[in-house]
Amino acid sequence: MPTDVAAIASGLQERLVSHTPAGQPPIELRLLTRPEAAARTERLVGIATSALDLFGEWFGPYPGSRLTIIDAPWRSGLAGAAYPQVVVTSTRWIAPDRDLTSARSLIAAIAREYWLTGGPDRRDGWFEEGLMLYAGARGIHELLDTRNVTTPRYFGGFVPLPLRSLSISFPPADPRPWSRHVVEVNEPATAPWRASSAAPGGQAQRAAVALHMIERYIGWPALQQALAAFREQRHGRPLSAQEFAAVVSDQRGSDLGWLFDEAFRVSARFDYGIEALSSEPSAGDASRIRTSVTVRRYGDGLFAGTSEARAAIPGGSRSLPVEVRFADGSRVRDGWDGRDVGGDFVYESRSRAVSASVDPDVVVLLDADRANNTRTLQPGWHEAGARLAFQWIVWLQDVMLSCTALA
Amino acid sequence: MTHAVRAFGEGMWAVVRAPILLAAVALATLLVAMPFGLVLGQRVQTSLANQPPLAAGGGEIDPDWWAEFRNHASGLEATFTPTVIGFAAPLDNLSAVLDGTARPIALAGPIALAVVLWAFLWGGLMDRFVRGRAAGPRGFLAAGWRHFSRFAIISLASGVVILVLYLTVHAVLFGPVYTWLAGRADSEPLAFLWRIGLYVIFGGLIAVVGLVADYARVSVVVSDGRSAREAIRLGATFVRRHFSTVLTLYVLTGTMFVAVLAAYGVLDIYGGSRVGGWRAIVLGQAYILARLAIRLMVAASEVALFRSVGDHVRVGMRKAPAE
Repeated sequence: MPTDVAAIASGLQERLVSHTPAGQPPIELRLLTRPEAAARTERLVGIATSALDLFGEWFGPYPGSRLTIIDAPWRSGLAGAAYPQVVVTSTRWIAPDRDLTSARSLIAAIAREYWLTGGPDRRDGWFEEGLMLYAGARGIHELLDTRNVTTPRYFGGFVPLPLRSLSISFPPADPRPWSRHVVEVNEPATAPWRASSAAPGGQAQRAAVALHMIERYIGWPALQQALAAFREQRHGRPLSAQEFAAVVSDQRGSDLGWLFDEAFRVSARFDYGIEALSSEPSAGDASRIRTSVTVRRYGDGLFAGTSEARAAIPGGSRSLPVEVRFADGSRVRDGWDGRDVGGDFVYESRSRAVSASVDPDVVVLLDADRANNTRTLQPGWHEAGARLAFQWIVWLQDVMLSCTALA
Repeated sequence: MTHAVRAFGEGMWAVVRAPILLAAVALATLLVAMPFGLVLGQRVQTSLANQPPLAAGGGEIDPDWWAEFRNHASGLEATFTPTVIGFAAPLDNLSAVLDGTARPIALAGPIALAVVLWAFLWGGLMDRFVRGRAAGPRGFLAAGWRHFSRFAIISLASGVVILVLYLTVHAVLFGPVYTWLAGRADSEPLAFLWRIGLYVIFGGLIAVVGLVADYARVSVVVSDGRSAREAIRLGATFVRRHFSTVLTLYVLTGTMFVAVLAAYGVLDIYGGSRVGGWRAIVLGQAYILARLAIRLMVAASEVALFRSVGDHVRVGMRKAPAE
């Protein structure tokens, strides 16, 4: 533990709790809290034990027999930090029950415990950091579920306002991807306790999003097993992206090098989109509708779907689904090789097309511009969007009143 | 004290007696904001229509879509953040004013439009409060137009002073001074207390500038024919001479604003609403209406105070030779 953290810990109240995750050795929890935050100790214990149970189930046993949880002062900048068998969070003075900021920091820090290696021979610090960012965000979504709401802070960061109508996490049955970026996991981005910078656009963030993308491609059960196996193999030694790719490929029984090479390559820019969509009556038969879709790869990042060369597969790998929806409710799903620069699909039907989407299941999370992944011919009216626009008008009226009140 | 309380009561009564005026002002402010909202709404609808089908089935707003929208947003669209939802909106604005948070340059257009609108509205409103009776739409527009240029100069002058205060006093108070104070605070409540203290100091300064501008406008309407420069000088003199009375009235009307803000917060936080729900919009517009009512009340009570203190004629006469 660094001296500054030890100095903070020295002035705190201690409380010991024993916890035994299912099928694992007992862990002694040592809570060090500030006197004024003593009332929140129970909540921290609850979060910590839930996190230990969850990560133990996912990644294997906790690395040690003791975990010290430090509730650091608000300005320490240490919330979310993890050192061997020591994690740091920070409870705030004004923190309504719905404000789960300190819980998120604690879960993020405990997730780091399972992947900490350190040491001078660390090579892929970015991968280690990316893995910890991924594990922290995933754990937060899983544990806090729909209680996990956006909580902006005002007046110098002292006053929080949980926006309970805007949940960060979806229920597990919701097919949409969870947010990859959670503030308490990512910030401060350049803290000394990180294996590498977690700044936006950096290699560690790229690795974290890549892991979310790999999860969406191979499924969580497969990735979870691979992570547990990888952790067991490494046993505290430095982590390498290449070795992890090998473990996942072994688990799957197929070479996933094509996926890892591109996903972890920071310079690879994924961007797929629908370039054109038209749906008009056929020239010869007015009762038939001819729908034409043009798919385009705008970036140099390749979602190949296979390690085989493109030339060896005449029809392409069909790695990326292309879905066309029609006005009568029917839909057609095709496949397209993500290595091709472009592709055309033509359909004849009795109904006009409504929309076309490439990657409709949102698997390629690294796609730089997902706004162009779907094209709609008959834009519907989204009530939620209209409500939000009216909310914005209220906000703008208030801005105008505030500014004119001053002058 | 008596003058202030009486002026406060008169101001409140003047607004109660003018519901159509309040509704017209509310409509005007809504109409000024509406075009920007329609442009943004169109952009939001287009973006939502192009969501992947997976997300489109979700019904409510997807935070991931919102993040994606913001990543590609520029201009006014960049201000479309979760802080526009419900009670977060006024809290965000108040916090931005006190913390001096920089706003996107794209907001300059709507704000300039609002300044022009209010430079016009103030003339008609104050004329109404000075007369004590409605002059009809034509009279309102004529008064607004008659005072427009002087009110625009007053707004511009106070805007420049406030900008200078932000660039100098605010930068020092919330830069090195706050950092030093917070660094020595051994608890979060104490640090927050220091911050509130600095808010009071800076808020006091900009309030004085606002009050001088307010009474300058009042003096223009009460003694027509005065130049903007002369009116500002008269406004400053009035505030200095009757500082405790002016301050009392300011605190009384400020308390009304805090009460409205608190009521909005309680209704919004504990009432329960979905993302941008219609109930939340109605509540938001009710809050704007209440804010406007307070603003009108401030103007009416300032007119009442200016007249009741009774030395405006004397001050005006004394200043006359300088013209």
